[in-house]
Amino acid sequence: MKRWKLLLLSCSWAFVVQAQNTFPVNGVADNRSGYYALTNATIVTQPGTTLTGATLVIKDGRVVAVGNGVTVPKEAVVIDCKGKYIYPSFVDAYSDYGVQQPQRQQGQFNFFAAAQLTSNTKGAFGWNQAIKADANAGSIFTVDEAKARQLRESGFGVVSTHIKDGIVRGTGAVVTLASERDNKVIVKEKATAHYSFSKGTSTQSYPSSLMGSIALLRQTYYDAAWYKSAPKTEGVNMSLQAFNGIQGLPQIFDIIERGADHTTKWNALRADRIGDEFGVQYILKASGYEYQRIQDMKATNAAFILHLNFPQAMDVEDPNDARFVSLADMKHWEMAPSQPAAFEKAGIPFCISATELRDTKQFLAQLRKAIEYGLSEQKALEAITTAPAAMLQVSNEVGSIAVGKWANFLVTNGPLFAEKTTILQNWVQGNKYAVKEDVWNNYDGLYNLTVNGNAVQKPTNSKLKTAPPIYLGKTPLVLSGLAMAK
Amino acid sequence: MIKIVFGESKRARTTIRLSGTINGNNMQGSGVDTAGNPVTFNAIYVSAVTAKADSARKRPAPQVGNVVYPFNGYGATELPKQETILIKNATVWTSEKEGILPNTDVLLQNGKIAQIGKNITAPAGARIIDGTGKHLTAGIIDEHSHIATSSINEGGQSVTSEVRIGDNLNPDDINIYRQLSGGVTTSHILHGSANTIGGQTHLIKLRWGVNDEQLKFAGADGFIKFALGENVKRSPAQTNNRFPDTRMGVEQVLMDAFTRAKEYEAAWKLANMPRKKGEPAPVFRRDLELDALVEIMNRKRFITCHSYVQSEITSTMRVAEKFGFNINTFTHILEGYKVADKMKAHGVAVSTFSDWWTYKMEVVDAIAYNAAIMQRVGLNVAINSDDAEMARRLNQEAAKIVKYGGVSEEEAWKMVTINPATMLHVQNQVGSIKVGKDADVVLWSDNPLSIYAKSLFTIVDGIVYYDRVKDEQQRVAIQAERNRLIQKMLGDKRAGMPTVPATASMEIMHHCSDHAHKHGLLVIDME
Repeated sequence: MKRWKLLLLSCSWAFVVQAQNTFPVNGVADNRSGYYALTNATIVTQPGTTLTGATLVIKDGRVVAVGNGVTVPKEAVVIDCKGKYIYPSFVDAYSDYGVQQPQRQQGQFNFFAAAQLTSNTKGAFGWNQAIKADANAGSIFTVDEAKARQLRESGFGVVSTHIKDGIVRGTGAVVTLASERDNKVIVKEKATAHYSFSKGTSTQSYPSSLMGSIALLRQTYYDAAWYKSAPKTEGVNMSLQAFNGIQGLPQIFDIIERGADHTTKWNALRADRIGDEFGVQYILKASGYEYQRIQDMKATNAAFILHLNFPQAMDVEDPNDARFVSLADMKHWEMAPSQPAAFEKAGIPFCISATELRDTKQFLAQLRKAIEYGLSEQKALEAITTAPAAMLQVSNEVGSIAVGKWANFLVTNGPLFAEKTTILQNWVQGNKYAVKEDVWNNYDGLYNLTVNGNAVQKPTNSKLKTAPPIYLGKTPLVLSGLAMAK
Repeated sequence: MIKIVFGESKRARTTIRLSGTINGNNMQGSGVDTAGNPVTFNAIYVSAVTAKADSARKRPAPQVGNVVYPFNGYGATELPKQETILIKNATVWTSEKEGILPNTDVLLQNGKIAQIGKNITAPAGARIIDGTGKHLTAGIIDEHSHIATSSINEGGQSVTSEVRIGDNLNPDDINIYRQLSGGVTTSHILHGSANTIGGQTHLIKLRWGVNDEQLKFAGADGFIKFALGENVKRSPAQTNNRFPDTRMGVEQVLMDAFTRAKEYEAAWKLANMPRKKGEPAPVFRRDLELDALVEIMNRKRFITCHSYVQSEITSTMRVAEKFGFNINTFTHILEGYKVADKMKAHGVAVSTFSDWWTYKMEVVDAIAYNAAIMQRVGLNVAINSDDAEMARRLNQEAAKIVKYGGVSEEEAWKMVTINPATMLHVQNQVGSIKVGKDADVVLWSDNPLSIYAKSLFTIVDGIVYYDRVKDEQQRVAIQAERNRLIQKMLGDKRAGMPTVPATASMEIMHHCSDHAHKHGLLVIDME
């Protein structure tokens, strides 16, 4: 009896905790649990696992049950998903969502200008302005509804965001794309550590070259190790302190320095060699040209973050314009979409990000293009769900549809990678966001259309006594070549 | 809600507009006919349409070209392989005491020069190249080059010995191929001259198509670039605030750097002394900048020093002597003829231009006889390019020394082969045609010092990286491939796909911010 009471007590306690937070309400509290059951759906819970006629139950933003033969709770709002597909929402491992990016004023070495030999950063930080190990995206993150909508409409539910500035860029945060209070959408406040070869907004003269960036980063590793012994001669160095603090996180290296070109792929090897020297395995954010040296990429043993910014065809009608375009650039135009397939074929682990895209909305179209160029559908789905979640070490929270994880999923009207498939809804943390609900019901069919009692038909059929049904589909309906039956 | 709009007949310009709702399967509502009169309508569902299996239709996989190494027109789907090659009956310029041997055979095997002599029997499977009327030499070695890198100058500080050219080699650089076509097989890639103590250099072999690591000359001694004079004191910069500002200051930068390096070495020794159990070692901070300077003092790293003016040449040698080491090479060294005896006493080698000068104030005293005079005094003299274009014709630069200084053809040729090999400490591997050395050779159509001479084959480690006949075939293939891709792009445009304006493919060329380099319309010259 006593034990039974205790159990009851702990249950009610758990319930109270879930509803609690520190934020006062002006007005009447409205704590809805978001209890939904999506029934009769084809649910792809994770790449390779498809349940047909299945039910997904969510509550308080999390998955409560998923599978065939799941009892629909009577308190839940039921949504019939007959003919619909449900997929985990995508995870983007490389984003700057909701984090204000410093304006770049690239300070390249200028022979004639005065040098800035010391850092302009005020405070007890290190000597070089490009080492921003103390930067913390989580502390300046704020929900950006306009951008969140764009990303949600492209299928994303979770992104890893950071400040893209400097050679050491501090920590990134994993956040959802729900339009909730900032506190609620952060999945992991300090999730990743970021690096690059570009000094970004640093106005300090050093480093002014790629090899200078490499040397500075190497020296920083040595200095940080030395700083652990609290050398009296140094005093407090918050940059090195922060650098040591971020070493346990997934280490992500953006290999694009200024812009990407054919030579940027070598930065993958350059970054990896720095990692080798200090026992760090970077995750490499690729430039798009890595397929040109795929075996060298494999030899890094790194996992890669790929983008889908495939170049568009150039207008080469004018032969004099065409003459100035190198064969390499033309070949790249042709081969760039085969990059993800090349990684799959080589057996290199990778995920795919919306980064570098001119227009986020093109994400799914570009991914389908990569599939057309040889990427398998299974790998494609992995690369936008389970793979990035694992890379960010948040697999227990997102990346697949499973009990206890965040209810982040897409409802589509067909298999995700089929050309005609549309994302109807994107649910993030149990909140439904309509993407294109007006095509939820499909009224395509053959109809007998009459106007003021007169049948409408195709002119070619006008001699027939009874007009055959005509095709009506897609809204708004715009038809031509019809005629009123006489 | 639904909306239906249609024309009354095929060519009708007026439309009937209907608006209504869906009720179960059927539609109904009202509208306006072509005359503007109100109408009502309904549509009764009959059946589903047989879906046009658009999404199910598998499009054929797109046809794309091949990845080539490197990724440009002169790349190949497979890298060339090492071969056994017998070059028969050529005039062989050995760059050794044997001199120039007429009608001689040279066998290349396992990447080495295996045999030199008359009537050598070709081993089974050997490729035989007829060298009759042709000249075989060792590959050219360029002591001063800035090709095949992604950056060249770290000008952020006066002392940057921590940076390494070897960290950012770029094996895709087309200049590798162009210079192979001019008979170059080994290049010393130097840091620029933006600061007194520049970065660590890297010796590479021109292996076209390999990756950045494979480009490196294995086992070669490490070098470092120093620079003096106008560039490092930033003479053209009116707002310079970086020490040094004068030639005296340059000397003090060197003094200061090596003094710090001495203290650093002492601290390192203290930290690494054997100690009693439990006795803590002093905390030691590894400093990459000073590491390199300690290597210099311990003769494990060697200096190639950009230099022009006699005063700074002598003062730099004095600093080195004070710290107990030698300057290995003075490069540029256009006033070298004035202090050749002092340089001889110091034991430094020199690498200079044949006749490139008057590009700034500190080179007005340059003369065409510089190389010859220095050679006569007994210095090891090399002729270098410091320029991606000039490096294609270093054979002609060597020829100029015959013209101006009356140096023999044989000695002039050594100035681009064994002499630079010796100053780079790789004379046991490359720089001459000698049994056991690397099979880095060039077969010329003519006397290599002639302006008519063209490289027919340039071979590195017994691998043919340049073949003039193949090159001509490749040009045809490039035209065809370009045309295929242009037509494909035009097809995209015709099909209504978005296009971007044609963008010129600019080549970035690095140089050491020293001379007025101009490499043409499609080249961005970078410091």
